[in-house]
Amino acid sequence: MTDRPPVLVTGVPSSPGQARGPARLMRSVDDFARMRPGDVLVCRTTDPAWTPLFRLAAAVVTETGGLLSHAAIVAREYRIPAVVGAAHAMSQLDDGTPVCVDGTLGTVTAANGTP
Amino acid sequence: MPHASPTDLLVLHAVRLKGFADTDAVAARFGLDVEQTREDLLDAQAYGWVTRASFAGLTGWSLAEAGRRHGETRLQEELDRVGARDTVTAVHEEFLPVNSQATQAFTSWQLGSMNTATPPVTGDVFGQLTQLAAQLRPLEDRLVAHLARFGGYHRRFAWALAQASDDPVWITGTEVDSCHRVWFELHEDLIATLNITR
Repeated sequence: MTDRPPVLVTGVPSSPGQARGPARLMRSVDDFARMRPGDVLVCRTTDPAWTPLFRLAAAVVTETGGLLSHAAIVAREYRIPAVVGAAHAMSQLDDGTPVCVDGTLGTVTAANGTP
Repeated sequence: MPHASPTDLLVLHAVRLKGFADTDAVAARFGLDVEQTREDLLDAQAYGWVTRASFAGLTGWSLAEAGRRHGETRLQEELDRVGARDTVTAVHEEFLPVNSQATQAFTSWQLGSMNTATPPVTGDVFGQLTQLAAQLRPLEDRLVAHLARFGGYHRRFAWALAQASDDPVWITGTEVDSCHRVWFELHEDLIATLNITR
């Protein structure tokens, strides 16, 4: 028995802090309309087209990249937690499922239960 | 004589480089006429190449996947027609190690300034960014010798760097044409032009 929620994915801790919100899996620009304020942006990688999503996101999780990647640099600019280089995040996380992103530890955990 | 890209390609490419921008900003990217740009954007929207969307109180254009593919095809055709593929490939190869220095400098700056409300611009980051500007210039010159649309990166980077001494938001800020934004845009431009992945 443990109080710790299960770790769903891990990656490079790239922008410090913790935030929770529903995971929003984004495959391309064509998905952007689904993004809502407070969502956790989950994607493979980001480029300039993705920057506006950071304004809405509670946190960011990308499958590729490291501390120096675009997603990491932009997340730090917006002061939102980021975990990058989180392999298989797109398959390990379910769209809409509440998750907690720890950008200091580099973990994404289930956020079911108390907020 | 450098090749001048056709206006409709510049409009599409501006949307890719800016990522998300209103009509005025798309036109301004390559100094195009705003009304003509609006027409080209509406045409591109009809083809499904660009979409108009609203995010967080902003409304702008962004490139749809179909537009991204169409743009890449057009850029490939242009690159081969002008005979610039070897030059752009070589510049990209030389850009990559400089890009590592740049992203390292931006990251060090951010990590070093995260706990301070108004971080001072240190001589260290200024020195690094000044060096990057110096390395950027000859790379840009070689690109512009073939394709005029590559012009302006060094000027914008140097301008942002000059502003940074008064306001450090010009180093990595996303709301201004900061050093990082200019740098990242050039990287995206090279990637788009060569049709490669990051």
